Order: sequence, then structure tokens, then C-alpha cells
Amino acid sequence: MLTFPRSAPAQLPSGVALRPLSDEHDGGGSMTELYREDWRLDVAPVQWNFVRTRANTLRGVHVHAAHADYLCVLHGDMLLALHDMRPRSPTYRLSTQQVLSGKGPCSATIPPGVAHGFYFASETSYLYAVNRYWNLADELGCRWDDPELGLSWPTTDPLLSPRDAAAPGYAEMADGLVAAMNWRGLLS
Amino acid sequence: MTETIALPADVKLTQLKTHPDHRGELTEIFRNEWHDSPLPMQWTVCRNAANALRGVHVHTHHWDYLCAVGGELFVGLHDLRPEKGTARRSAMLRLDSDCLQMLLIPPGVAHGFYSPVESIILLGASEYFVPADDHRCRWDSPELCLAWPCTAPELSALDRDAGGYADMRAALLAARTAATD
Repeated sequence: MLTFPRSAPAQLPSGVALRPLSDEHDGGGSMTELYREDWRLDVAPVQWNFVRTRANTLRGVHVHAAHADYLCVLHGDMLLALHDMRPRSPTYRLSTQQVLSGKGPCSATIPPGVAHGFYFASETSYLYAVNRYWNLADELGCRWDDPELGLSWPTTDPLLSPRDAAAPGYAEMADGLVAAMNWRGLLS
Repeated sequence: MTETIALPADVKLTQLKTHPDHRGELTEIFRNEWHDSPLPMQWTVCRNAANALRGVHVHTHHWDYLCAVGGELFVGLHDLRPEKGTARRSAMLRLDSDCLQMLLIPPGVAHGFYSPVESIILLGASEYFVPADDHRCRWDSPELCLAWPCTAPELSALDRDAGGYADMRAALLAARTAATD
């Protein structure tokens, strides 16, 4: 059982939004609105992915220069870890951790430049949307346990992808992000 | 095998590609560029109890995108569009979340969903839900020609009190006429 706070943390990286989703129950189950265009979120999805994850898996830490993520846990629990890597952000270098649960769902919007990692203590499924099609060039990453991230994980030996296991350190990810954001004109 | 079932025109059932590894699996379930039909403005997660049946409903305007991401689901379809070569065609599909598929249902094709076990569905809609775009009939109306694998499903109050097939068809056709006036 993950014991990190389930309520909204006191401060989130600028541009990150946690949105509680309301369940409407009827005799046969429930309906939960996950996304509506008229919510005017900072993410206009072009692609939706569905992920099933085994216990003790960690995905990340990743950061994107171009695309935003929008995610929601359907079943199980996700420990969502965030770290702001945007030098001009008012919350630059802020780190936070928050549990998202399939019970009492909420969605999370993660803007470009905010590094994120997901840890799953138990089997979990979740949906996420992106506002640009997947592109390997926009997938920057660093070691999940790099101390520069300021994140405390409830595991020492998570299951990782080969790419995440071989990821470079924080400094290399930060340099890559600044270069990509400069190239995109986001820091000029 | 659902691939061999004759479907109403414009209904599309697409097998999705799942990428497994030692951590679990990832499936791209929707990309805008895959579809020529009107794109979803709204996505909804629908959780269904075992033995729950939703429907039968038909819409005048909006397209539905459906993917069963938990459990399994029977989807009954019946074409109410008189202008189509598949008018009055019925089909029963079984969707299994162990083998993810995306189902596209156009306006004018009536549909109902039966969950033999607990299920989770992701539903996309090309327009926001409004009650006026939701015409209903009894799930077991014989004109639907749907062989549901149940006899006493759990229904919502609206579905339990729904009228017959003729009422639903008349309401749909009237709404279509009004929309073109």
C-alpha cells in the first residue's frame, strides 16, 4: 500500500493540474467523464494509450520538451513523482509526489519541462493522452534515483525498462531539455 | 471470431497492437490520424457491474468510439438507417480486454452493451452527451434480433422503462428529418 499523500500537495510545479473526476453511479455501475474539449485543458489529445503495469514497476524519470501528458488511473495506485526542470518557471526545481488512485479518480496534466516518474506498488492500469504523436526525440530521461531529482521512492529495486535502466544522470537530461527547448524557442 | 461477423455499414472493429514487456504492456488505443469519422470531443470511463446491460440506444448525431479495457463485453448492434444497404442488420460482438479492440459505431446504429463480468469501457463521443440525442428501446425487443447471453440483466431505470423498437425508430427518423430541415 502506498502511503504518500492522496490529497493535493501544497504546491505543484507551475502548469501541473490535478482535476478530480466525478463518478455518476447508476444501477449497473458508474460513468466518469475523463476528458471534455470544453474543459479547456492545456492538453488537446491526439493520441490515447492504455497501460497495464505489474507490481513494483517504475516508469521514468522522463521529461519532454514538446508534448504534454494527461493521465488517469483506472485500477490500482500510481505514485506520481514530479520535478520542475524549466529554468524560467516560478517553481523551478520543485519536486512533489502524489498518489493517484483508481478509487476516487482524478486526472493529472503534466506540461513540457516537468520531469515525471510513475511507481506502482501493485498491479495498476491507467490511461494517458498526449498532445503530439509519440516521438523518440522528445523522450528525454534520467536515472529514477538520481539525487538531483529530490524524489524519495518507496522501493530500491523496481522493474525498469532497458532504456530507463540505462538512462543518464540528471545533468545530461537537463542539458538535453534546455537544448531542445532552446531549439523550439521556448527559452528565448 | 468477431472478424467474420457481417457488420452494419460504417461500423469498424479494429484490432489494436499491444506492446508487452517484463513491466506489463502498452497499447495505443486511439490516434486522431487513424480515423476519417468525426473525432471525439469527450471521453468517458464506464464501469459496469457483472450482469449489467446498458441500452439499447441510438443516436441521431454522434459517433461512438468504444474500447473494453477491463473484463469482457457483448455489444449488440442493429442498423436503423433505412438508406443503408445494411438496414435492419444485427450483429453481436464479444470484446475481451485481453485482446484490445476499438469499435466505431456511427449515428443510426442502435447498440447495447452487456457485461457478463465486471468490465471497464473507454467511450469516446464526437459530440457532448445530450439526452435529446439518445433514443432508447427495450434491450429485448424482438425486432432488434439480438441474441443476448442473458435473460435478466441489471438495467438503469431509464433503460428499464424504455419503449419499444417502433418508438425508438420513429424518434430517430423524426430527429434526423428535423436535423436536415
